[in-house]
Amino acid sequence: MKQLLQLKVNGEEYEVFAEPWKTLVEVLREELGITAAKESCNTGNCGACTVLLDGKAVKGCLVLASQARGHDVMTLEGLSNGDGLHPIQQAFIDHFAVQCGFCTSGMILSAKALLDENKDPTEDDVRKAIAGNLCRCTGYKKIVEAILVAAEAMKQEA
Amino acid sequence: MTQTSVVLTELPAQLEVVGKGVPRVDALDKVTGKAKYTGDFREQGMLFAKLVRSPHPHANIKNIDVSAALAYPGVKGIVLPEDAPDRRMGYFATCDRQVLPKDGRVRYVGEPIAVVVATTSEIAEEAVALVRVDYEALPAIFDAEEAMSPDCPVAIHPMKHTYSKGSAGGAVQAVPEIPNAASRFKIRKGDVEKGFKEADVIVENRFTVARVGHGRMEKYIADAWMEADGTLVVRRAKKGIWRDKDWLCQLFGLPASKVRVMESYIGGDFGGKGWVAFEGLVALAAMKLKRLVRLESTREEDFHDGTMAPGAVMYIKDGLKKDGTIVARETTMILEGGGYTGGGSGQSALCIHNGILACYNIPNWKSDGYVAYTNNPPTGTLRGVDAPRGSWAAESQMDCDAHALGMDPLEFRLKNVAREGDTCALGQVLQHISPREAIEKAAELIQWGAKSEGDGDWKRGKGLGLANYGVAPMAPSDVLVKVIRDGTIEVRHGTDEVGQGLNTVVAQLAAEEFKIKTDRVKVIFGDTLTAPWDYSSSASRCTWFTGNATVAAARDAKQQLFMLAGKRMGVAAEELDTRDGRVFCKTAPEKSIPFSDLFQYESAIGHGEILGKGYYRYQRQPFDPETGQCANYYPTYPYLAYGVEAAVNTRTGEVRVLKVSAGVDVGQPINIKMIEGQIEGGIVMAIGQSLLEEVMLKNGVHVNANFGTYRMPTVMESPYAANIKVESVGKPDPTGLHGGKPLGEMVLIPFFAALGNAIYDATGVRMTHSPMTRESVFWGLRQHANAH
Repeated sequence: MKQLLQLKVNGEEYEVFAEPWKTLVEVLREELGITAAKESCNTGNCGACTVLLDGKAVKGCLVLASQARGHDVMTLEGLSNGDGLHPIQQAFIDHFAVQCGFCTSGMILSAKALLDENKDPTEDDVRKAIAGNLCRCTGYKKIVEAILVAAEAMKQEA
Repeated sequence: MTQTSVVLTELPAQLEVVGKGVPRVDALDKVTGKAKYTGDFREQGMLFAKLVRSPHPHANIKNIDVSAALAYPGVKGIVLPEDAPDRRMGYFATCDRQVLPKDGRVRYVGEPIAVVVATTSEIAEEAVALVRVDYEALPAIFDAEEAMSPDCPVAIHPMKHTYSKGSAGGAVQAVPEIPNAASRFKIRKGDVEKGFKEADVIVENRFTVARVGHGRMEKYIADAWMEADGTLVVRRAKKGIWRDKDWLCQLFGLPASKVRVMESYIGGDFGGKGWVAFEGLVALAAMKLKRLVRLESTREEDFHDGTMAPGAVMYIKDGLKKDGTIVARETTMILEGGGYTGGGSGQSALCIHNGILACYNIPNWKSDGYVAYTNNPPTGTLRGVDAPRGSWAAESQMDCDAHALGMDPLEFRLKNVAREGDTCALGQVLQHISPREAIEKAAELIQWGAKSEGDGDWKRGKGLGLANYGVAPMAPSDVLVKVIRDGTIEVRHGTDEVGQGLNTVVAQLAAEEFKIKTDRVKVIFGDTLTAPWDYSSSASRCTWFTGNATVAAARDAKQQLFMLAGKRMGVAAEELDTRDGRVFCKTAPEKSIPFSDLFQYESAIGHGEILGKGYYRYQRQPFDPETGQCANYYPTYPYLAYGVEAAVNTRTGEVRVLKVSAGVDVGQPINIKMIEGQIEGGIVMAIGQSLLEEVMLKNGVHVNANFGTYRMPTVMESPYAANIKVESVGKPDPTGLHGGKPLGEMVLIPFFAALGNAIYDATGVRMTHSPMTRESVFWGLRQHANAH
């Protein structure tokens, strides 16, 4: 039986009807058409569905949509409002951290959760932050490098 | 409109875009979440399909009762084998697979038997459980060598002598005398028996390797619907729109104008997104129900349907002279192909040798490659098309050879490494190659010869591996290049952006021709209605084939542009060139005209647009199936060498890859940053496949069909960023595109043995099975300790 659900995603309020067992990533993708978060493993192993819940990186396949009620959900679509790119997005472009792109949304949001907490991360900090995000294309090297560059850029902006 | 085909014979002196690390043209879409993948489209009222699958590894289907499932609320229809065509599909080797088992037999656990379509995927899944299938179980076989034995009581494809060959199936042969052999490939060069007689030392080994998966992040998903005029449309997360269109036409007997195939960005491929069986199922459902139907795998189903890389058993025998010369090599390699090999693994009877046949100058060579049918799930192509398997055996063998002679493994490789003008195992003369430079660079970057110290239980060692690859000709490429009046250049290609960066490569090539930046190039792909013919992003062919066609099309468009401008400017077309959206006179650059003026002027007399067309083809010389010899089997041979430094815990068997170096010969790189990216990605995928990953099957049933237990490397298993070093060492190949050679398939191949050799260097334990799991290294250490 579908239930009415209020969600706040990327600063906007939504009301949707969804079955109570639907996960957050399912409701984002299927009901709201917000598709940057991807479904891949559905067991919490790959991180392609990572979104931010009150700024913390969570796996959208392990959170029921109803558990997001009353919290701020952020997806990749909400990262750069307006014209400019977020420094993490810019660094991912400049440092070739993107190949097929299927993990990119989750990687960028895991990086954002890290860099919002830790302005001066070491390579080990970055590795721990994205350890729950699988990438089969890049071998991670250029992703790690991009996040470290973005950290530097964010420090200079601040 | 003219058609041209070019292989560049001169290297342009002043490349401005090609050869540079130009940012990817798809990166902005992908970092903003705007990039669309097939699953991101969702239509109101679409139906959802789920598959009824065989629980038996080998059985005859006696009866299918769908009455309860059809009566289930929300179920819209069920597709049964009787709705499906008889035709068997396959590419490369053998057409052995029906869309649904119309022959009444299932050959693996998970084989689709029927398609249930309902208003939601939950309802479809519930209804699948209501379909009652009666089976007559048959004896099953799971081991490749048992299946190949003359005493094997099971014949999995008793009618295989009637199967036809796939469209690209020239190389491998049917094997009527062995009941469960799907295909064979033979190499006979020189006289191997004479070579062994001349040898001072014979080294013989047996290596094995497990079945592994692609692990691409995006699963299978496909939508199909019928248009009002009876056109079947299939939109799917697969590569090769034109190849699929051809297959769907053949499969359903539809004319070419009545099938349209679409794709979007693809979330990783690695060889697992070529096979059409999945599209056949959803197309059948759409044709029967006349509705838009979506079929989407769960991750577990992706393992069933994933046409993974087969396991293999490999025997290798080398004859050596005391001075370190290899005088003869004999191999027998048997791949465990599963119930069907039409998804590509049939070709692996050849391809398992593809990473080793041009590395060293070996005068006498005899090889037999076989693919065996078993009752495991079907197999197919995976990055390198089983060349990583053959290389695991042969490059481990190279170290065994060196140690048997008391030589350093690098010195032994350099003694035998292929030189300009040598002939490879297929009899082709090798030209414009740099394998020596590749292996020397890998050795230098890993500081070969400098022994690294261990720490307590951890012992450290280094290993090397070298691979070649052949870019497969397979099929031609067509490309269209359109000049837009605002100075933008549009490139239309018919192959795929699977993440490898093809859109960036064609944008660079077109930008170079028009002397503009890549942000002025628009790349259009992914729809047979709008894109010209191409084969697929397969066998490292795109940069070479689609790339050459792009340059040809751009030159054709430029020629038309200069004709128009010449008339307008009163200058001969040969006097003109272009830059930044203007045509100018070479001898008087101040005389120039923007593209926009040309269109205004010419449209009045009926010239609306400029459309250049280019194509590229490769003509292969006759090929001898008894010897595998061919004068030009592959257009070019790129090389890749890895150096690996690993630490082995002698108490637990745990292996950590600390440093990896790569020396790569891709001629003149088109985009060095993307080459680094592919190699770095290949290294980490290879770390997974050589240490962690194994598709486990018990009596044909998947044991670890999810990403929790099929463990792929995270960033924690990959070396620190500064410890992966990639350098390009190739010299330009003048027959190649701007001097470049291909790369993508090659990046896994030499890693497995390089790591095994590093483990040997650290511990004295020779690993003969991959993956080298902690447990297997532990037992290897134990045996070694007992023996010494």
